[in-house]
Amino acid sequence: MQYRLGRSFFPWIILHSIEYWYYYIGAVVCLYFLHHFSSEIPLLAKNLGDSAMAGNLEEIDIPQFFFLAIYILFFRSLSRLLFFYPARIQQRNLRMELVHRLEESPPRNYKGFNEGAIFQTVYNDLNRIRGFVGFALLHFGNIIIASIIFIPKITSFNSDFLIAFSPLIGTVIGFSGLIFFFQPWMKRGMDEYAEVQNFLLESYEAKKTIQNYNSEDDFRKSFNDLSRQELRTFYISSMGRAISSPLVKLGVGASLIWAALIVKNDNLPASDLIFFSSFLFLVLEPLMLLSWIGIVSSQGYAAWTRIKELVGSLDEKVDDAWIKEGSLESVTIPFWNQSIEFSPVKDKWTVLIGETGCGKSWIMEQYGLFLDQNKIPFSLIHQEPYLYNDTVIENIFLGQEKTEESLSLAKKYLKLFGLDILAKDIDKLLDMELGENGKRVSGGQAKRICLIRSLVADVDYVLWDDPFSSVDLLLENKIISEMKEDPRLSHKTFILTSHRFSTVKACDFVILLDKERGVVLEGQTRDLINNGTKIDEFFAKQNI
Amino acid sequence: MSFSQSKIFKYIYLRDQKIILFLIGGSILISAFLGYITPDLISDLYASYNDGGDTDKAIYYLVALFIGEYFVSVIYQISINKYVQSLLYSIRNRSYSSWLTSIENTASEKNGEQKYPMGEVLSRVLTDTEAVIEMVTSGSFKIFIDFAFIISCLIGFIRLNTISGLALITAEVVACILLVVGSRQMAKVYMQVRRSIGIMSRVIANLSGGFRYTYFHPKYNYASKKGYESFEDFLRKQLKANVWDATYFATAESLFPILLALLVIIFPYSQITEMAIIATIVDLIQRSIGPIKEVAGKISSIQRARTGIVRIEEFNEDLEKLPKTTRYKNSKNLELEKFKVSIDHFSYPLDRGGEKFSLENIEIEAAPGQLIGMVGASGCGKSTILKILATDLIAKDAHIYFKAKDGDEIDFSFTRSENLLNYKRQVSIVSQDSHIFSSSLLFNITMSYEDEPRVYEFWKDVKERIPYVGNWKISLEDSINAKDLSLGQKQLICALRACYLAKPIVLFDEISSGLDSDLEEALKKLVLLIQKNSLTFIVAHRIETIVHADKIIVMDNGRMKATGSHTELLESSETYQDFISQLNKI
Repeated sequence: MQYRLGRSFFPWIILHSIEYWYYYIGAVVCLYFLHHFSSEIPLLAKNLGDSAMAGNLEEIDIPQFFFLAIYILFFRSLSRLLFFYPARIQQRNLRMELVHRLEESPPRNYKGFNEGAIFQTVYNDLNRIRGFVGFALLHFGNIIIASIIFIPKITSFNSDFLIAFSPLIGTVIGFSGLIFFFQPWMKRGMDEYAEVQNFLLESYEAKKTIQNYNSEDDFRKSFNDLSRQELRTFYISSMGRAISSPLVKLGVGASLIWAALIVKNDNLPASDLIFFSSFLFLVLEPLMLLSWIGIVSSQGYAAWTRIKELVGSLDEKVDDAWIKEGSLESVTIPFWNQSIEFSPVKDKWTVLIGETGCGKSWIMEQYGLFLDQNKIPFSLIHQEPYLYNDTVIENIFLGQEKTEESLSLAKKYLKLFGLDILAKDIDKLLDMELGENGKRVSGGQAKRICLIRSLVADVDYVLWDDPFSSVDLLLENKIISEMKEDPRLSHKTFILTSHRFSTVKACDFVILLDKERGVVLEGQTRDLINNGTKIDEFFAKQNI
Repeated sequence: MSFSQSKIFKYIYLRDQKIILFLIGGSILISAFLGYITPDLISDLYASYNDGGDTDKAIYYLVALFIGEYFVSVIYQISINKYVQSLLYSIRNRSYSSWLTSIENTASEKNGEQKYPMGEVLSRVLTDTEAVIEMVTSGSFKIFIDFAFIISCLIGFIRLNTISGLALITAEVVACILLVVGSRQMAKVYMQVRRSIGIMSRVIANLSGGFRYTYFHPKYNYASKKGYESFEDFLRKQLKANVWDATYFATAESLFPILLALLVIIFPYSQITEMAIIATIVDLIQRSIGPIKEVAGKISSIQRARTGIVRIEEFNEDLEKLPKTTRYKNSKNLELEKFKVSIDHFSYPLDRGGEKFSLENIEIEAAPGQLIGMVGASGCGKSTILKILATDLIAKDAHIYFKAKDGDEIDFSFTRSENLLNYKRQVSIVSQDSHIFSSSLLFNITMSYEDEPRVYEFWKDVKERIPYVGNWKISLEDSINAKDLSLGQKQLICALRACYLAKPIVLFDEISSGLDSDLEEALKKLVLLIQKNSLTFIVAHRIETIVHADKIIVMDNGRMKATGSHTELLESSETYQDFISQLNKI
């Protein structure tokens, strides 16, 4: 896959134009013919006027009008399509590239970009890029080619008329300026719209709680305030359009009057004014889009800068010394201000314990990164894992090839993990939709579905961050004992974190961590529990 | 049609905005008048060149005409934008407050689920108004005044030359109709595109959240596969739509030469001999092409906006039928004297594993200040009882009786839901479903934006009593982000809320684990504080939580196996002994 993202804006534009050069050449040719033919109209209109005066209107050739109409129809639509097509294809390719690269990059590379920021980039920013190549380039070309054709034609007819276009151009510039001036309000309006939307989402999530505690009035008031603010901003931003769009019409009128004065002062035939006024309307269309070209281009540029920032960070290589130096037997993981030796025994169960926030999850992620860089198949399930808005089965397999064998495994584990109560039968369960981030199941159930994910995958290392927190002790006991007897799992290395004594008891090795002291105690579980050790002390507070 | 037509006027008419409406109507009328005299003024200008008339005077009139037109347009647009702003404000607020105060989980609804899913509420209250906002920001309302102007232009022109005037009107009407018909077809294609965009944005939103988790899993490229499907689908639909829209605008653009040809074709009948008439017609054609080109697009956006408003108002009417919480406004905390609940039978609907589990013959009687523990293996029904007590689940065969010290009684069954809210407001729930607001801690505890001095004392007191809270580096004014909190901390905040608001009944669904010992200690202490003021039901996962309970209900497979205190049950109930010994064994 050839990477396009991550380049600078202008080199990328050049690369893009070269890649699709035949479309763009074709489009420019179409634009040329379009303006060439439409610039015939003013002269025809003038001739109509002259013939009417001369009383020989019937001699005018009718088919030529229809030919003109057909040429305009053909070249106008073709020029648009030739610009749109590469822009759309490019948009899809860039999206694919970005998704693919996000998927392949270690999450720490894009730590500064939250879920919303990634969405913004993949969805909105790439839309803006498309707008730039498909819209701004087209209309920019349109204006250039129109002026190349129109100016000589007008000059050869009567060069005095050229100056009469200045009121129109002046008002178009005024119009564009006003639109630009009000643009920040537009953006603010969008932000405020998002705020209203978030408020509504929160009210939805919390409706029961709100009603329960009689807080409806407070929420109504807040909603009204937010909504009023947002609508007010939209009203102000629309003011720019209200004042500026009739301005162009005023400019057309002013140009017409200027030309009328030229006709009068130079004693030109009145039909010359028809010629002028027809050109006025031809020029109007490309000019009106001037402001949008500016807006779309600056948005496109800003979007590209944001994309580049994200992609730039994705490209960072993982070359931490500790990862290179570590081995499966032992790896030194940085831990707060120090580092700790981590050497999980192969094919055994190791559990990390310690106070909340002491860095257990950090060790898990770092070890995951280490395994990843060394191409060792592993699966890490986070403390609060993510479920895709998809079916149970898709969430378990995550794109992995499904076989008879793996399917029956999935079913077996769904039963073992007590998830079969979720649906009438197991096949219905596999096809059950989970909703946004697994909203349709409880947090604990979501977690268990993810745990199954790593049991079904073909991995050597299974890393589970606090796996059984929302499973009751009885079910946990059942799950662990069945897993221990499963021959399929006996050659996997399990690394867990836990707060529970019951989980610790089930593991072969235990490591007690402390934020200040690093590894406080580690060794075989059977030696270290019920022996008056620090580990017993740690659990004594939980007095189970 | 006429029915919904008359309705839409009812929906969009704002009584307190008469001046604005007057300005809108006035500017349309003035614009029509200006349009009517335009052909005359244009033709006077051209005629003045040939027959030596007063050119300067004609030009002065035109200057006045153009300036007048500008100001009328500006006044019109500003007024209509203002009107729309007030209209949307009123519609949105009405539907928000109507939705927020409606009780959706009444007996007629399936099992207490909310009647309107999230997407529905969001799209009704917000997205339906979006089309109208878009019309404001894109200046779409201008089409009305533009048409008023153009139509009166054409009418004015008929006086100058009847035949060509009528021919022009006919041709333009036909062109409009053709474009509108074409755009109907185009609308279908666009609809597909919009749907595809919707799907794509959902897919992207869905994938965005997952990258940082699935990286730590074998690379099966779930995101690329899912992404590709939706991007490809969007691309295909969009390309198809592009063909339509490029052709559509090109057709509109090619109208100019066609209308000129028409002028020549009808010449033998119109007998035009003056250049002024030709010039006026050319001018008119040019003026009208803009609005004609836009007519289809604007009609469809007006329609979208109209449908949006109708939909949101239907939503309002629908909501009006639901019971409202505002009707029970002055429900203060009552002082509980006696509480009784009986659930004869309850089962989930079939698609939720209904036939596998049911609750049968549950009877609980309780007095204020009691702590009632509910225990049993997972799936025994203890959480289901709690949800019924919280009225989150609708149990048709359940009956709740609440007697207050001052003699007030709340007596209700779910099939007759009149008293549901009266009861609900006497209950606090602490569970994983309880919401943590992304607002200040103060708001999360008091559930009110109003200043309540009592809360500062409460906070000081809690900080002293509970070391975890004392050590927690958080102040009442700090903003809470639920994502940064652990499960235990969230439960702690909910428990603080329940403790502060001191409802007569508190339902507590203990989280089963994942707590470190300080937090666990804190929650335990908080339960005792809550119990001082309230009758507390607690679903317990740890023995030590229930050892001190006044009454323990042992559940097994949806039935009450035994009740009593810890010591009583250890002697009398085998199920309880089993349960305890299993917990100890692990």
